[in-house]
Amino acid sequence: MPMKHQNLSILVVDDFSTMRRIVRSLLAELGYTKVIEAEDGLQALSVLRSQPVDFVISDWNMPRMQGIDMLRAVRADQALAHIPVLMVTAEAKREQIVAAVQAGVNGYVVKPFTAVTLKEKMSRIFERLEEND
Amino acid sequence: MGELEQELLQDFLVEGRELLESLDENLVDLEQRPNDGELLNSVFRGFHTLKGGAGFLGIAPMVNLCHRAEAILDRLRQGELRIDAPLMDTILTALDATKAMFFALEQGAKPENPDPSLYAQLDHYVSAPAPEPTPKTGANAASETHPEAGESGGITFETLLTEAANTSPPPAADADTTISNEEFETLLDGMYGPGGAPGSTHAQGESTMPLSSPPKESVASHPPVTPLAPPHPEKIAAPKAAVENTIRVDAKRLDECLNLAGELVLTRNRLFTLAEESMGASYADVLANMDQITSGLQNAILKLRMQPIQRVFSRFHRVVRDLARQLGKEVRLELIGEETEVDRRVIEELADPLTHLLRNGLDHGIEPPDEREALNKPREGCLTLRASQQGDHILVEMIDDGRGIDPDRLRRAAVEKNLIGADNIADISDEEAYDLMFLPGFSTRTRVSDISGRGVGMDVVRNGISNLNGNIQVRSEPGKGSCFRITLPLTLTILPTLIVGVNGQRFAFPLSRVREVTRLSEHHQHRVGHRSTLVFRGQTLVLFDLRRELGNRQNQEQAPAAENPQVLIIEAANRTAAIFVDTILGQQDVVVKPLAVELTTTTGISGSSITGDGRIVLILDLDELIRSLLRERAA
Repeated sequence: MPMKHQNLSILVVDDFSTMRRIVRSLLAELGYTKVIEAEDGLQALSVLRSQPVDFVISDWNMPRMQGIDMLRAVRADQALAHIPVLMVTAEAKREQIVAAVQAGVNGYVVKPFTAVTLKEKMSRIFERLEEND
Repeated sequence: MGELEQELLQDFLVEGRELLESLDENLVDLEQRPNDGELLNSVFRGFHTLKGGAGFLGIAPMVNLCHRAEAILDRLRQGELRIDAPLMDTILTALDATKAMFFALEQGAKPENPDPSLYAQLDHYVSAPAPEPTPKTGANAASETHPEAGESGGITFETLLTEAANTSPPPAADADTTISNEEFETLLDGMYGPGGAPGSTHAQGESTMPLSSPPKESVASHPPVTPLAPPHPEKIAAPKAAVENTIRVDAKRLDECLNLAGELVLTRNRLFTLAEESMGASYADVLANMDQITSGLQNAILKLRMQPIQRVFSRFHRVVRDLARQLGKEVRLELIGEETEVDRRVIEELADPLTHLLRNGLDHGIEPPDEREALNKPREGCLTLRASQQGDHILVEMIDDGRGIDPDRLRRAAVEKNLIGADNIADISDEEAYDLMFLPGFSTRTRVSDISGRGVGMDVVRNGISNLNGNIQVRSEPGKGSCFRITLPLTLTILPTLIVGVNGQRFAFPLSRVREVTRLSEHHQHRVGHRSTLVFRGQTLVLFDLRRELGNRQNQEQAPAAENPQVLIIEAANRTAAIFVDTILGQQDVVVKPLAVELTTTTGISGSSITGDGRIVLILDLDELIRSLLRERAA
């Protein structure tokens, strides 16, 4: 039942507010309107610990705490470990993606992307989560 | 371009501008501290972020340029390249080209590709010594790396990179180093079993929900609804408020608020005067309350316009770096008090005067390294920009540790240029001599230097600062260096003043300029040469009788009639002066209204306002006034 996903709270993590707004607008195009924002990994973690979040879309390169370090922290935290994380990268470098997989990433999307690409990436993540159900 | 895209572009331009400014500063820092990994990361991130934003907005030339800069910075991070001045020049040139694109976009134009030679320079570093695998064409790389992008009509950096005409694509990611969707899926299968995912494996034991514990309101209590059902508004609003604590507001709206607050202050002042004349005590209480609220509102709105002076300071690292390199000097720029907050307009309008002062200090003040060494000074000269808040005004100082300014040379130059008469030379104190450099048409160098010359004199600096109701003073010690002190009011629209009466007229002295108020009887008046002077606390001050100098000339005979005139000790035109007025009417915050166009040439008046009793008061431009009185007297 992919329809229910539209109600998910999605946390968008990026240090560039324009980028957060871009992702937010792409998500709105897909019908996701419950979007929360964080400026870096540290802020993302504190948001994740203070309110329910169903899905994280995070940039890789950020000050204070990088996306991948945040991902590791999420997976290491019992209360957060289940939350799917989609990483936004500038290029699909093998080395980088393998590291992300090892850190527990659910998917990656290469910048710049369209709403359609984002939808496909998210759907694939949901498919895997539900297949495993 | 749709409305949303247009809005996103505006966001990008505003936010990107800030990023460009900090890149400028960070790059110059990086040249000084090439081993600062965190700094290098943040510079890398800057270009990376610009590239990312430009990519989404389809600005191909910017993606192209930032991609190359980013690639070079990445090689620096990997230790494959070393930072030196030519490399830094190249990256700074790339940054300038990015700025030019921002400028074009801000003007609503399409950004052009930069000069191909810049790409050549950048590519030289991108692919310099370490041999890279053969670059594929951009289109191939794109389709291999992201097959889904092509199908969904998506754009990728690679397509953007190749889109830019007549430039070769930068070395594109190679298939061996990039990963495909299929490979990624295989990786996940390997980690979590076929079709597995990190979230679900972890959660398997405790829950059967796919997203093990989604918040109740998001899934459980809203069973399958239509795909685009709008969620409950209160549930969206709550989390958002928690994260966003800044907003961008059009400056025009702020100005409108400020203007209204100003009108409110005027009205309050009028009410006060009325109350004093006729109202009872309880009324006064309410008024006192209103007074507090009005002042509070005024301050709150003023603060909306305040920004750290760092916004203007930060750009000078680059200015100093480039100029020092050009002149073959070694110079360090020190910034102190960058957090000092000033009005937005000060940020905008202080940049040019400060740039000019810095260029001057670097060009004329700081000696070449060898000369400094011979003088037992460190080879590296130091320019300091220091800002601080001093009571109700802001002090900005530009200090250099160079050769200083010779007051005799200034005196002679002023005589040569017919700016002062030769017989006046003896009357001119050193402080007054420094002030000569701000006269229009003054330049101590016969040759116009293309560095600090640019056909612009220090008079332009002073005008720029006067426009901000500010004042500039110079102190210098030959051989040790110079200090330019700029004082600026905290706010530009509301001016704390001392209202005085002269010949039955009212004038407002900017309070920041008034050092003391006293009576004549305690002091002695003298004549020295052409001038009336007043000895005050052991200091001989030039004295002006405003009752004679201002207002109706035909009243001149009546003017001296008032006995025991009040004396104001003020700071203006780089000196301390004493001024006679009839009466002191008190201190008042006035809202500055610019003069009507036909009056703007009136010497010595900077604006007008309305006092509590509804009378018009003229605000004095003390620098202009004192200078013109001195000229008149010398003539």
